[in-house]
Parts: sequence; C-alpha cells; structure tokens
Amino acid sequence: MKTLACYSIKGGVGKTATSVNLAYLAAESGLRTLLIDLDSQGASSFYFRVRPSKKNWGKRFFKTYEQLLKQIKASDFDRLDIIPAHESFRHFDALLSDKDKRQLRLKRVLKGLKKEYDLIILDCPPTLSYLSEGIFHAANMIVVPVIPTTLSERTYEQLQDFFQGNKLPTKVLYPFFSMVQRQKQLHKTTIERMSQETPRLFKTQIPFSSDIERMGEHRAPVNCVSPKTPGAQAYAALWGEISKKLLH
Amino acid sequence: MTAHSRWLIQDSSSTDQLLDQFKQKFTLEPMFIRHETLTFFDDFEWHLWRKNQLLASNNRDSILLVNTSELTFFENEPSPVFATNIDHPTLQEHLLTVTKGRRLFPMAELEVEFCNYAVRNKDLKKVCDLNIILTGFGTMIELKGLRGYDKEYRRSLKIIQRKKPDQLDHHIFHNSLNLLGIRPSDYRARPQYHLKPELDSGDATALVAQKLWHNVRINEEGIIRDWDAQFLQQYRVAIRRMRALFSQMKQSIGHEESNWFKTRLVQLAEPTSRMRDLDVYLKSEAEYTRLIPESFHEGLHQLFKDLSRERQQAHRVLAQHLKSPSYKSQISLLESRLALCPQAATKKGHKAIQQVAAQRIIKRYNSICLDAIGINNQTPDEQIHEIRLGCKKLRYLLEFFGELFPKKQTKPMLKALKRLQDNLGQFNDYSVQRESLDHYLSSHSVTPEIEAAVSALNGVLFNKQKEERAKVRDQLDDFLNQTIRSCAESLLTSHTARSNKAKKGSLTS
Repeated sequence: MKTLACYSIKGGVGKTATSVNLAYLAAESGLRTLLIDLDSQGASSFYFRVRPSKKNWGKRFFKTYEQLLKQIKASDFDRLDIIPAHESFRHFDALLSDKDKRQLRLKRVLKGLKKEYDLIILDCPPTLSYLSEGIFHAANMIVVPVIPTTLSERTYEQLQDFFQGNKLPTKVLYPFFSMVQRQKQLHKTTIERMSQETPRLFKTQIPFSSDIERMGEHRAPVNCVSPKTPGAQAYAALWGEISKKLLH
Repeated sequence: MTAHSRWLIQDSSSTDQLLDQFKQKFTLEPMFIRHETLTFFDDFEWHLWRKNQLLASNNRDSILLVNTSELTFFENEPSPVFATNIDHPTLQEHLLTVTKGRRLFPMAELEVEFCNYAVRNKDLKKVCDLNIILTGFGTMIELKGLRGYDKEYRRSLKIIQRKKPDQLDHHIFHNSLNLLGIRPSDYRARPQYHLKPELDSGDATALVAQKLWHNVRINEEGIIRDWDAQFLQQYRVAIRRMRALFSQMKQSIGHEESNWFKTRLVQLAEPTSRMRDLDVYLKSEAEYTRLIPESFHEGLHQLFKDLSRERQQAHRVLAQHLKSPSYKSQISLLESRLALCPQAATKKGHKAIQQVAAQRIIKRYNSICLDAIGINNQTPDEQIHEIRLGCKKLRYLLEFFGELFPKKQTKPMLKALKRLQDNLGQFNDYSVQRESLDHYLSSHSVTPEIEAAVSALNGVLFNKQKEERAKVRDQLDDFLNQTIRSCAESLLTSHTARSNKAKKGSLTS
C-alpha cells in the first residue's frame, strides 16, 4: 500500500481538484483506492456527493484504524472509496497536541488499511500544523500544486525549508505547476526559471481550465465527465508520471 | 463487507412494478441497457462448467465470466479460442488454471438483456446497484449495496421482498442453460469406474479397460483436427493405462490374453510418439529460453522453428494414419476382443476385485520398499528409473481400484506417492530431454548456432537433473514411513472385514 498526499501551505492552488481526479484515475487503473478528505471544508467529499457521518467522530480518528473503517463510504466508481471530511476535523491540532509521538499517529492508523487498499490519497488542508507533520511522516510521496507566481513559489520554498529544518526527507516532495495560464508573462517566466532550478518537478502542467472549475456543478471528476478536455488529459498525464514514480 | 443478493422473477410485469416502486423512494438512473446474443464456451472436458463457472462472448468485443454466481465483464476481448489469446491478465491466468490451456469450444447461445440502474439518494449519490438480467427463461434481480450505505440497502431490500421473489442459488445463466438442456459430456480424463467390491477381478479388469478404451476413441477426432495438444496426450495416457492394467491384472485374465492386448496397444501408440515428443519440446520453449544465456537464444529460436516445422509434418502423417483402413482394422480387432474379455478368466479372475486389488497394491508397495533399500546419492541412475516405474505401476493400481477402499486408507498413500512421483518424474524428464537433444544433434545437420544452444541447454538440464536426484532419498523416506505402510496394510483388513460381514449376513438369513 502506498500513501500519496496532495499538499500545499497555500490555499486555492488546486489541491482538491488534483486529489479527486488522481483518486478517480488510480481506481480506474485498477488500484483499490481510498481518498481521505482531511480538509474540514469537505470539498473532496462534496465532489463525490458523499456526506459525512452526523456523529462527531473526529476525536476518534487517530485511535485505531477500525474507527476509520466505520467511516468509509463507497463512491459511485468501482474500487474508489472515500472517508469524507467532518467539521470536527478542525480540532485535529488540539487533539494531536496532547498525544505523544504525534508525528507518527497518522502513519500508524493508516497502516491498518493496507489489506483493503493499494493506494491512499490524502487531500490535505492548507496549513502547517501537527496534522501536516503527521502527513509528512505518513506519505510515500507528497505532490505539491504550485501556481507559477512569486507568492506560490515562495510557499513551496517555505515548505522545503520546513522539511530541512525538521530533518524530513525532501525527496518525497514532488511539485507540479497548477492553474497555468501561459498567456500571463509572470506564469511563463516563473515556469522557465523554476523548471531549471527545481528538482523532482513533474513535467505535466495542469492548465487553468473552465472544465476543472465546473467540476463543482457536475459533482464528479473532470476525467469522468469530460475526459477529452485539456484539463482531464493533463491530469491523466500527471497520474502517469506519479504512478511511474510511486508504484515502480 | 457490502451486502449482495439475487432473486428470480418469472413474470415480466412484476419487474416493471418493482422499478416503479423504486422510483417512488429513490432516483433510479439507468446506466446501461444492452441486448446481447451470448455464446458460451467451455473446453472438451467441461472444466469451467464442472467448477460452476461460465464463460461467454457477446461475439463483438466483450467476454463475460460467471464465477460462483458473480458476473464480470471484460471489455475489448474478441471471442476466445485459447486462454492464452486473452489480453486481460487476471482473466487469462484464471482461465489457464481452470481449462489447463485447453481449446475453448462454443457450447450454447442465449439472448440476453442486461439493465443496470444506479439507485440514488436525494444528493444523487449512488447508494445501491440494481441489475436486471432477462434471458427468456426468467428475470434475475440483483441488488448490490455500497459500503457506508447500509440503511439505503435495507430500504431497497424491502421494496424487492414485497414482491415475494424466489431465491436464486446460481446465476440466471446457469438456470437458463439447464432449461435449454445443456449438459456436460461424460468424458473425464480420469474416468470413474464405479466397481463393486465383490465383482470378479477378471470382469472388473474388462470393465476398467472398456472405460479407458472409450477415452482412446473419443480423442481421435481432436488429434486429426489438431484442436489442442491434450487430445493426443490423453489418447496416449488412456492407452498406457490400458497396458498397465493388462500387465498388472494378467493373473486374473490370463497371460495369453494380457500379452495379446499389450502387444496391440504398443502398436497403437507407436505412431504417435514422435508427435508427442515434439509437443513436449514446443511447450518448453519459454522455459528453455529462460534457462540459457541470451547469446544462445538465436540458436534456440532456430531449433524451435525447425521443430515446429517437423511437428506440422508429423501431424499430417499421424492424421492420415488415424483415418487409414489399416488403423480402422486395428481398432475393430481390439474392440471385438475387448467385448469378449475375459475370454478365459483364471481362478484368480473369479476372486473379488477388492481382495485382488488389495493384494496387488501391497505387493507393489513392498516391491518399491525392496528396491529403495540402499538408494543413496551414488546409486546408478538405472536403479532410480526402476523405482520410478514401480511407483507408476502402484499409481495406476490406486487409480483403477482406489475407489473400492475408504478414502482415508488411500489418500495419505496417494499424496505421498504423488510427491515422490513428481520428483522422480522431473528427474526422468531432464534425463529424457538431454538424451533426445543429443539424438537430435546426431540425426540432423544443424547450424553452429543451434549446436551451441543445444550444448548450453544440455549443461543446464544436467545440473537440474542432479538437483532432483539429490531430493530422491528424502522423498523415498517420506513414502516408506510407518503411516503409509499402515495405510497399505489396512487395505487387506478392510477387505476381510467386508467379507466377514457378508458371511455373517448369509448365515443369519
């Protein structure tokens, strides 16, 4: 079982769209996939029309994997299940601050799912917190959407600094350009510069596309609704790059 | 674990009513409705049917597999001929195991309508899958729950149960094919003899021989048409078993009759030997390629090209032979003698088969024990071959007459014997392969590449043979231990117990 996290310190960079489409493509390729929506806003869950449990179960998240099993819901697609976000996930940091070995809690609890799933995808909230530290320890690969702007580039640098400062292996970080608009001069120059300087940068660039934006209307992955559109094809190419690195 | 149930509804108006009731509680979205003409396939031995599985093609681009009532579609697959032609790796592997690589033949057709509905809640999230399959012999309703949506599954279940449908143990395709009158053939590579313990051993021998003869004849057409290599293999195995039977039971039917059959059966098998050898070689191409370094692969490839050409020719000759008047007269002569067998049963031939079989099995076991004394890593290969032949004879006896004894008495012996035979068989195969490779070199003018490849292969096979040789002693010890000996000896007591019971019965009456 592999764990793939989709993470960025900055919000609005396309994390959820990436998680949703990658999860769909992974399941489509034959992998038993579980998407865990860790962001209390619940956007991933919304895209798959999955509602969270009414019970306030977030406080039991890190206890045992059996607690997680109870919350799993099937999506409309074969081999793809979801643990929907819950409003109580907002309190994860407070919850983790009291626990010993908090960095390893998430890794430990996910380990219990290895019999049922080949791939776990974590859709992460845009924070640098105890939960993110747990994610950094649990994930085999962290894909980081970067909008080719100065601000977004800076947050990626901050993430790298955090990894180095905390003796975390930067080799798990794989950035890729998201919401790219080639006609913007800033995007063009940032892409050119970063492409030369950034290790492990995926070649695929996800374009800024109305099809991806409209995912909220259809409430389904763009690769399912309109697989021929440039956005969907870019996600398919990105999944191709990721799966090659992650699974082989 | 997600819930999953299926039912049978005979009347089509009930299905419409059911869908209406679903629409009142849920949103019912038709995902696909397909009309298909399905052709069902199975191999000559009906391996799939006997394992409760069905394979069908829609004659365009999909294959369907029903395994323990679960239906799976495999897209982009044309009609199957061999499991090896299938692209989908899981399906290919599964079919290779079940059909043992045998050719698949069409065996029935069905007109089918598939309807798949997504049962959705008010968020339009799918909560259950509803499948309806109509075959003209009935309608199958199948409800599959989705993980995390148990409440919705229970509600859907209630809607269906209100219609009081019949429970369905098998998939509707099984039921429909049964109603169509499709039945598997009675052919089995290992026939069941259904012998009665008190039957005269001479008559029992004739009965077994007739069943085996049926297997010889039934495989002829497959050899002539070259449907797959198993037809020839099973033809030869049936002849070999008959020879072993006549040889082992000569004291029951008389030496003269036994020798007559043995000679004729040898004559019958002889023209098939070369083609079988070539089949064995051709099957080993992938393994041989794996065994030797890449620099020899070109030579090996050339060798296999030559062998495949030779096989084509050998098949033409054999097919002609099987259609020839001389073959037909051989057959009719054998058949007329078989019908009269046993012509002059001996004294032993009038004894009960259970008793005679028990004695033969113990005698054979003891003879292997004697041969095995003093076998070690230095023993000449000929002695190992002797033991292998002894084991083969015992195996045949257990195959013919094992059913006369309780399973618990024969099973441990058969299991240990199989392990020993696998080991000895491998040892023998390597030795035969080496000999015939040498023979091939000396009898054909070959390119230097082929010669180098054959020499390299010979070296690897020699080492493999040595590895198998080293295991023989341990396998023999396992086979000759006290548990297996007690099993063999208990066969006689089981006969005695039965005959005492019979005597007691006749006295009281």
